[in-house]
Amino acid sequence: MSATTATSTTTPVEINKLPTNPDVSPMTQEQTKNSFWSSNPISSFVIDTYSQLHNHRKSLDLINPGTVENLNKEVSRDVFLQQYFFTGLRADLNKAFALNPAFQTSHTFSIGSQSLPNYAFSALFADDNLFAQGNIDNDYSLSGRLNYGWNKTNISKINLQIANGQPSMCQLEQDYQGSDYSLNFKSLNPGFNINNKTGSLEFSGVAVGSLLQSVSRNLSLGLEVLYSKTQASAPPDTGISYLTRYVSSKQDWIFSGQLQANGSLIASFWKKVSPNVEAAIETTLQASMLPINDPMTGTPIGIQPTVEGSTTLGAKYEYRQSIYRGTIDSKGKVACFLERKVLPTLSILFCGEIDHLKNENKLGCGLQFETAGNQELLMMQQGLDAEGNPLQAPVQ
Amino acid sequence: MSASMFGMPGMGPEPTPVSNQPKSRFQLFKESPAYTILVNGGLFIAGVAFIQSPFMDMLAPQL
Repeated sequence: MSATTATSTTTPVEINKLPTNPDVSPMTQEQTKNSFWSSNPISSFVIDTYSQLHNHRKSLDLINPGTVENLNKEVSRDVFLQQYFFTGLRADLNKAFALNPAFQTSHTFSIGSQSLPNYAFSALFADDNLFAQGNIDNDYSLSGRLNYGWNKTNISKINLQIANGQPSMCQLEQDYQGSDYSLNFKSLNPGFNINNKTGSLEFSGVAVGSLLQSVSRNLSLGLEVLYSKTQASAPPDTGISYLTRYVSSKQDWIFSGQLQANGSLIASFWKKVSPNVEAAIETTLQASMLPINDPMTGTPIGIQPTVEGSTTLGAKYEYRQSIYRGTIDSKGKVACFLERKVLPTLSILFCGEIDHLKNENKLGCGLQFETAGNQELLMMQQGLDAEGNPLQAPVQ
Repeated sequence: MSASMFGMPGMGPEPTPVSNQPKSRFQLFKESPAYTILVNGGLFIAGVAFIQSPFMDMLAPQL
């Protein structure tokens, strides 16, 4: 009964949509809304296929996989201590002038270190969209970083480095984060030269493009393409790297793998063992070709494939006032890094490394002072608000 | 006029031994790239098994 009622109500509308004369076949109301691209059979096929794919991707309920730069961030930056390791004595004097926008300056003094300069000054400014950082040291090496977020998905980055006695470096980078993929383009020392022979415009420098796409809620796959032409006379160098990352459903363990264009294979695994303990392992295999020299004349007579490998196991213990990182690797190196907050304004750093096979040791000690540039920050460092009342922990 | 000058056996310093013996199969395998791949692959699998095992949980203090 209800079906007949529905038919009777929709019939006039359906009749209006039908072409009145089959020979003339005027376009229906819906057809007139379509543009040239959607009515064209070739382009409409492409558009339909894309929309079907898009709808299918939407139905998979995918998430953004993160950036290629942060593919194994949990292992190499959070747990392992290579980024934090230093030798000799070091003192950092940090002074925060404001929190929002953040403005901070830092003086770093160091002795007995091969990697750190004797003195370095750095300044940092950050607000919701902009991040700017500049460093200068006693060798007059200048480096700067500028990140600008046009919106939540688009970030432009510039890195500059002018080192004394070394070639200058400029890196331009663009990050785009889609709903289920991440795109990144970067170029190191880009330039365009006119070829004298052909008269054509040629790119010089290094260009890298990468894509990381989620294929399920846990697994993402990626590609990185590299084009390098650093010398005008030499032919360009190209390479493709393959990337993968698997995040467990509970997000308590992550596996990532990289097959890089230079012949290295990196596999890493990270696990959050407990709320304050993380463990990680990373294996690197580097394949290369070594020349074979004639034992009598010393001239190269051939090449042989070689594979070098190392495996590093590490753990990070993070407590309220201290962070401890330790690693052990297959080449006989044992290393640790300890950072302890003795006072709200003072931290002590200690790092050591023993290379059992080479019989070498490294040791580093440091102090980190955090001072406040205004009264409000000073009170905050002491756990008080602007009126001198104890700060309340935010409600979880 | 040393004894080694005349090549008298047993009188001069021992000549450096030249290894003419063929390398064993294990030695050949140890020098091949497959050895490095297997050792590091094995270490990675063992490390993942260790991190996933209850031993790692025991190394985390219960606060």
